[in-house]
Amino acid sequence: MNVDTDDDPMVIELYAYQFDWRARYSGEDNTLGEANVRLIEGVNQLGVDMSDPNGQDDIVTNELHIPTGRKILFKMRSQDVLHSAYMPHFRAQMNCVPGMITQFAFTPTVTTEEMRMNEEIVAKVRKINNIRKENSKALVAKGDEPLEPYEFDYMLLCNKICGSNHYNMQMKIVVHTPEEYEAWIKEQTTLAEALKQ
Amino acid sequence: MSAHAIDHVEDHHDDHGHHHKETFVTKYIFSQDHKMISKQYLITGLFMGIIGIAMSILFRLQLAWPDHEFTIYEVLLGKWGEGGVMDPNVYLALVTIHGTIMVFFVLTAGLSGTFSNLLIPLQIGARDMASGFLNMISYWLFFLSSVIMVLSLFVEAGPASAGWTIYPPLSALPQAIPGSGTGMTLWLVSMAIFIASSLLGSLNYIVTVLNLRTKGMSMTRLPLTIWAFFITAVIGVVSFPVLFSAALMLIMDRSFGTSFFLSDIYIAGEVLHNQGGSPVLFEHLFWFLGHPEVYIVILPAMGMVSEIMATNARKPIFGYRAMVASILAIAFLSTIVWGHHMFISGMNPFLGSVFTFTTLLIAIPSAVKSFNWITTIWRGNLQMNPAMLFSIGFVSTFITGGLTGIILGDSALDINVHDTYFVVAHFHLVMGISALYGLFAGVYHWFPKMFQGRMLNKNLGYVHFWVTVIGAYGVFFPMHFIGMAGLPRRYYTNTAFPYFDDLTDVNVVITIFAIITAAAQIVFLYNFISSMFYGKKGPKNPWKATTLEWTAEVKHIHGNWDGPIPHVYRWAYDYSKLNKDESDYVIPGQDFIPQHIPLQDNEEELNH
Repeated sequence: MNVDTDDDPMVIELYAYQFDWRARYSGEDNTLGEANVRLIEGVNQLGVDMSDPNGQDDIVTNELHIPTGRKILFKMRSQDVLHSAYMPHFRAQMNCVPGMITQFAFTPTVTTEEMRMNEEIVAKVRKINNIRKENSKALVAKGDEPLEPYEFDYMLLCNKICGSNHYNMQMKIVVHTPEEYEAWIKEQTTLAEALKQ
Repeated sequence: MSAHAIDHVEDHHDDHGHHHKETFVTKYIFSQDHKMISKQYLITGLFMGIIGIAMSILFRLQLAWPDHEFTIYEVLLGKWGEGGVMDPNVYLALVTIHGTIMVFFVLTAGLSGTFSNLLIPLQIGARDMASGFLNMISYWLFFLSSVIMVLSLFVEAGPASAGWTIYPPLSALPQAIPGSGTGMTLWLVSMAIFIASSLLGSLNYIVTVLNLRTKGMSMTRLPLTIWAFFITAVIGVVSFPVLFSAALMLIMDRSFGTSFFLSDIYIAGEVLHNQGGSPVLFEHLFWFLGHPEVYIVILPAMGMVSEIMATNARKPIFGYRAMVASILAIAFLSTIVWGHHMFISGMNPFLGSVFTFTTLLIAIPSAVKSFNWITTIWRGNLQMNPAMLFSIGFVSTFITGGLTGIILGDSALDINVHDTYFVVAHFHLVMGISALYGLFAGVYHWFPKMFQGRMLNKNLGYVHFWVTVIGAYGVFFPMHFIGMAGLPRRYYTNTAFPYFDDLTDVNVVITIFAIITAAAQIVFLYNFISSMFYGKKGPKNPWKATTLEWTAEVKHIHGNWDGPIPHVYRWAYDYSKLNKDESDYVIPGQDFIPQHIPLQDNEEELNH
């Protein structure tokens, strides 16, 4: 996807591997450190080149948190086979290709909280919870735990056949207001700190 | 050239019978007769079709009732269905082999192999194919590739499971999925042999159409079936070698350590040495065949449907030259649109807009064809036999499926529905179901030509048609909606997380329709087998058609016509043609004039 970088998008890496996702935030400098699978070691699960100054303040998370009102530029990488980062609520999708970096950008406009109030989503969640209540009855009868009630969250799905757990390779996306986002990102540890521990 | 070739065949024919005696082996097994080879293709294709459809029922059961334990999994899948629970890897194997079998073995070989072989010599007025021997080799290579594909189902780690598009690195690395071991090796070997078979067949069809037409059969007098088979063969020759190159490079990557498609991979705890390749290269090579392939599948069906609709509407085909031109246009365009499968592959987005443009251009010839089919039956004297019904069904599904193609062909609209059930609905309707309807229409129409005058049972045909047409829409129409709702394809279960729980009901409906539709095919199989032996014998020209195959002997003889080959004096669509003073048909009391009848006294010569 062509991205106009004049409006200073926030750069986030989406990293895919069998069968999970990681997000890497580019930190204060808004520049991702260089990375290669040959540098994968221990905590440095994404193979970030720690001799690259841009990589020191990168932040790796297993949930994707993004603010509204700012363009986000996603850079996709894959560790092993083809995956596809599919975010159905944002109508966004891009393949993750081993050996190259692909990209996609969009500006979130509706926070998770607002989306949970949306009439259609409320109706959908109610319907799903009714189904889950029905299914729980059967489970309880068998002596199993009932199903947890469902609450809406945005999500990132894998949408390119990638192996046995392809059907459950997903990551939660949380859309914040800019203030909430700032508070959240401050709590995260940078890669340099994580490697020191 | 062509006159000389015919003389040669005639000479050969005159003294045939003196020196070679047919044995069981030369007549039924290693036959060089195009009619027998055509039947061999059809029966092998139907057999593979049974396997492919049975697989689809298995994974539809899994999708509808993911938590239910089905003993049938254990019976059919053995260790991959232990306790009635389907293994996620074997689910992927089932969708992979279902796709491969249906696209290549049923709709390419079973459809074009059967009818090109049967109809090319009979409709152009030739004694046989240009090379009967190559034709025989072509079938037996197809048979060999089918055997290898079926054998691959029984290897220990399971058959190929990387999707029918076998994108590397998944297909290249056994560490990524067990099916990418021996199973994928056998898949590649089978496909390589299949490509050789397809190329031999296609070259034979091209040479036959160009050189062996009877006297008077100019290219513009060819029935549309022959035009379609001819152009299909040309597309096959242009595109299949590219798939072969991709398969060869994949074999190299898998077995000889090259890096055509692999780079920067860390899997199973270690970094692979491969550096510098790109999976996107594979996608380009694969779809350079893969897209023309869907036209290889659909063009023969289009040709047969044109022929059957004109015959059963008792009207000339509307816009013969436009039909030929649109076949040529589709064939040309089919080679420059492959990128629309790759809008989100990481390909340069500028190319996306180019491929959107070329893709949407295909709507023009496709619309010309749809318009011409509808105008052909417009105010016709419709004969609603099963072949005609399936032809009309073809036009219906081709339009329904084609409309969603406009959405998918647009690089921006595609982003949201790429690789969802919306795509599954689109391609099953526009190429899968349409081509199957073409196949069925062809079988109902030309069954008497294949089995020495015996006809399929009409009433069973009606049952087969109506259940199939309602069932197929019942399966694929709801898929549009669950696709728009964001449900990705190739998911082993849609209930691993709650978001799609509300779509479970729809999946149950789809599966029930799928089971009903599959059951209707048993009616067809019964009809096919019983009519082969006990079918009612019809007249020599049961559909009152104009084309040459109905002038050939009903009994199969080597060389097709007992006497000299008929000459051709007119085009193939002189239905309901009136004489000069419009008092009656040209031949009084007969609403069709076969191609071998010379211009009559009271007839005006028309240029079509």
